[in-house]
Amino acid sequence: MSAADRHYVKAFDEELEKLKSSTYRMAQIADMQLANAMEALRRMDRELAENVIDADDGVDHVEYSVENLCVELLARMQPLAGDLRVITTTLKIVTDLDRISDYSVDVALRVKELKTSFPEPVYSRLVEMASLSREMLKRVMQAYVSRKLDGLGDEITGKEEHVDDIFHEFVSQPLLGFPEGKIDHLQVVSAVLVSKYLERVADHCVNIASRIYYAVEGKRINLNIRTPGIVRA
Amino acid sequence: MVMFPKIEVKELRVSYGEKLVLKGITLTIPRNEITAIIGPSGCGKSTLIKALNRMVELVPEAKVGGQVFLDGEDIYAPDVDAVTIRRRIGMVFQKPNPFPSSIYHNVAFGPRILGVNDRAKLDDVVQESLVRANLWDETKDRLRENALSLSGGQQQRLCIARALATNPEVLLLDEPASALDPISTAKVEDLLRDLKREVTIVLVTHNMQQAIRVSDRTGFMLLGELVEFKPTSELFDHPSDSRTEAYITGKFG
Repeated sequence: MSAADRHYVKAFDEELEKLKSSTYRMAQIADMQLANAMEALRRMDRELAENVIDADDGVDHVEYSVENLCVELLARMQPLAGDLRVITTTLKIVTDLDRISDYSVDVALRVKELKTSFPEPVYSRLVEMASLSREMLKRVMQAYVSRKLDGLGDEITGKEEHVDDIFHEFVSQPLLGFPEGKIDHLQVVSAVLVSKYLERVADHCVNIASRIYYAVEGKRINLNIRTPGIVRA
Repeated sequence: MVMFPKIEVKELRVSYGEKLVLKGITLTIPRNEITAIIGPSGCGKSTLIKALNRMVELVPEAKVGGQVFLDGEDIYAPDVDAVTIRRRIGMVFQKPNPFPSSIYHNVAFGPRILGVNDRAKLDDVVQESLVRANLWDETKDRLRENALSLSGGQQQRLCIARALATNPEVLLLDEPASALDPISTAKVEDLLRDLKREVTIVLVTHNMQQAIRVSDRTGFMLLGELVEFKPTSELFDHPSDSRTEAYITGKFG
């Protein structure tokens, strides 16, 4: 932190650092949840799926502690301008992170219901969506911690477009990648649902990016794109 | 752009002896709004508001350059009477300073000086001023009591009533609530919000939360310069100047 960024009240700097690291920690947990949910899906590992479901309580716990810290800082320090924006956007960002973890739980619940794993051509497209979403999450949290934008908007919208394209494919061609012949309806519907969950994860990352723009520059920008033809299920 | 501002300040410079305290301030004060001026100690904000009603001329060795227009008329023009200006632009100071006489006398003083001698008229003016200052109910049965028997918050509202008694168009307040407890502060702030419908208000304050609560526009001053002046919500949400950001967020900058 440069001298110009330090507050007269040293405790405020320390609390803001604590806020930053707790929120980053929450993002790391959300990322791990997503990775574990996708791994559970690959291996049809019901135990791992159960762990993802149980771990959501821990995510909620971190969310509450970050929220409490934000409220405390608002009341005690009466922050203004950039400081106020950082704290209010953190309140919104932890909600996005909580939803990302919730979608991982939704994927895990699908694992518990499925009888067999997805065919490779189906699973690989879902993995691609998950990888892109995780890259987006990592990128936005990097910007959150550094308070630097460095072309964040373009990077994020580029990846979101890609995720949306794959989601569009699942919705418009749900049987793509499944063997011809007898249709396993549970599998097909589950694949579409999982693609929807992953699309929502990407959406939340875009929300986080917009919030970071507001925190850093005080400007409201809408990074959400509506590509013609995409069905928003 | 402010249409038909109440006060327009153009390149205002004030020096005390050799020391240049205001380095060329230009701003417009909208009518019927509350304008707050904030800034660190020594930035010149008290000098600025004293210059708005020529009170600065009472400071020894003070020299004033530039112009201050009240409804389009330069108040520093040679043929303009300072006393008339101070009747139209009243002032309330940081420390309540009622006269050591009765509550009634405090409020009636200004109108009497201006030639109002009719008892009934004075009674009306005193009542109206105390009503406007939200002090009538607390003082109507004790108008003959000494003003110093009032609490700090009441004394400050009495000073506001005293300033209002001459029907000013503008009220200047130099940290009017800094010596008051939170409840008295809240009452003074409520009062200002009510008053702005009839009077243009300029308020100097150290208390940024107060500026946010009551003012429509805020100016940030530093070392005799006006760094930034914009609608209050904008200035405190995303100031344009890094010096403003540093001050309002309490940073070394």
